[in-house]
Amino acid sequence: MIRGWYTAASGMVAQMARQLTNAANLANVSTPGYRQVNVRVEEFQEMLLHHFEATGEFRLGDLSTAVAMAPIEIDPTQGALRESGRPLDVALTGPGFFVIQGDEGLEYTRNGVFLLEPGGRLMTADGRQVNGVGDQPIIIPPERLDEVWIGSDGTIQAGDDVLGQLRIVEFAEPGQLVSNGSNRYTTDQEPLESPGTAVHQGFLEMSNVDVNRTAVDLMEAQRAYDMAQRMVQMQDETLQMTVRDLGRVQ
Amino acid sequence: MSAYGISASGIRMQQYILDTIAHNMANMHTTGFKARRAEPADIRFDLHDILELQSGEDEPASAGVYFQATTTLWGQGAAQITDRDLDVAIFGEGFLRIDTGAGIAYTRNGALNIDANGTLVTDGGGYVLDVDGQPIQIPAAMTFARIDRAGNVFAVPVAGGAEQQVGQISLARFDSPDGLLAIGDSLFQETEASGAPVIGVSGAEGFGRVINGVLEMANLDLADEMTRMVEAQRAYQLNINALRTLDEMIARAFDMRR
Repeated sequence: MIRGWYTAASGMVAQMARQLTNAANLANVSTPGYRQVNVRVEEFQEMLLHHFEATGEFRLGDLSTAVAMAPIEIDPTQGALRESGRPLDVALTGPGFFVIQGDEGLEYTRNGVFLLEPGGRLMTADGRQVNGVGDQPIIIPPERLDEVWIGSDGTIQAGDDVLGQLRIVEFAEPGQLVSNGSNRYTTDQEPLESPGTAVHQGFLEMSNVDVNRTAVDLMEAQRAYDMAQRMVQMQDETLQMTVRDLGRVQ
Repeated sequence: MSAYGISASGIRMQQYILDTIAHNMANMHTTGFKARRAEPADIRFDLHDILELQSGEDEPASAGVYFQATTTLWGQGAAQITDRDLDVAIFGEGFLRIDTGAGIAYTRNGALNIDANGTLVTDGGGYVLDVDGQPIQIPAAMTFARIDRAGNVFAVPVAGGAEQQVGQISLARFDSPDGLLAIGDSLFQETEASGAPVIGVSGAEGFGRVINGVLEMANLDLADEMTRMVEAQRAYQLNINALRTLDEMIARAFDMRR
């Protein structure tokens, strides 16, 4: 009986986790290149199995909060493109990511709001280097920005001069990328060059948050949470009855 | 509780976006105005931290979105022909260099005037500078005649006679104009992020041309701004819904012991 209590309580935690995920996705509905996060609601057995297969970080004795322990996955679905007309806005179509030079190794992003630092090095909006092929920096002479042209394979030209090529990579399991915040992702997967990804200058890829689905899921998760809460209360009432009535000496 | 913070960050971000759009639309008729865009970025989302299932000694868990930067869209604004001799527009790269009295600033607003002392000034009264960083002065006993496409300023003697070149408007260009700081009145200030200005003149390599009798309008796409505004309003509402839903759930949790 007490076990049922915990099951119901863990259901509440699970639905809260689902709701927080919805909230985080909705907060980023306008973030270019944002990938919506999915939380898997797993049953306990399934979760246990998952943890035995995984890294072994599972600590026995934790509250079996099912979903909170389940890994978060990002949704690799393509976001819609929007024309911006800004010459250093770049969008991707296909599975690829831009490569940026993070503080601790390579990071990956779908957010193509780039700018030049003084001297002409191509940077992300938060001041990290955008890598070209071979992880080389891309230098665009600022006085030639007007004539910069980015081809669909990521080649950057000013007039007829080739200045570099954006490095675009993809991953065997894009859902397993880990968010670092600031639109950047990391992974220990090997990055694979991605010739199947097309680059579009003057466009931004909008977030891929499915607004309708998320709005519906907000309601669903709330109802499921209410239900789990009702279950906890029922367990409580039953226990109360047991303690009060069953134990009473007539 | 950080749960509220997620949606609150979304509401705040949409507010920034709406503010930026409102600012753009308010400047629809401002000469030389460049539209801006608020750039959101996500905050690392870690359910473990947020649900406080693990005792982290790191900074408090958060998630959602934050306002990362404002980018300026530097595209050329439409030209409006005014036929006024003191109006100039820059076609292509470059800013006018202005001494505002409080320092040097840069603008694309070329609605110029001659002040009471015969100095070439902007709408806001700042001195328009030449290549040497000096104001352009119409000598006494002369009156302003015209500005040519090289930015040369000509004056004629009041008493009559041939016109003379009295100065040349200089232009400034930045490696990283995205780093410029907008200080209002269509003025920008140099920062570390923008780099130092490169000074030149109309038509020089890497610079645009000064065209007289024309003003550069705001580079606003009204339809696009309207679309964004409606979108941001909807997104704002969605985040409020998410906040309310979470609030109801948390209230329900507190209700349990009744």
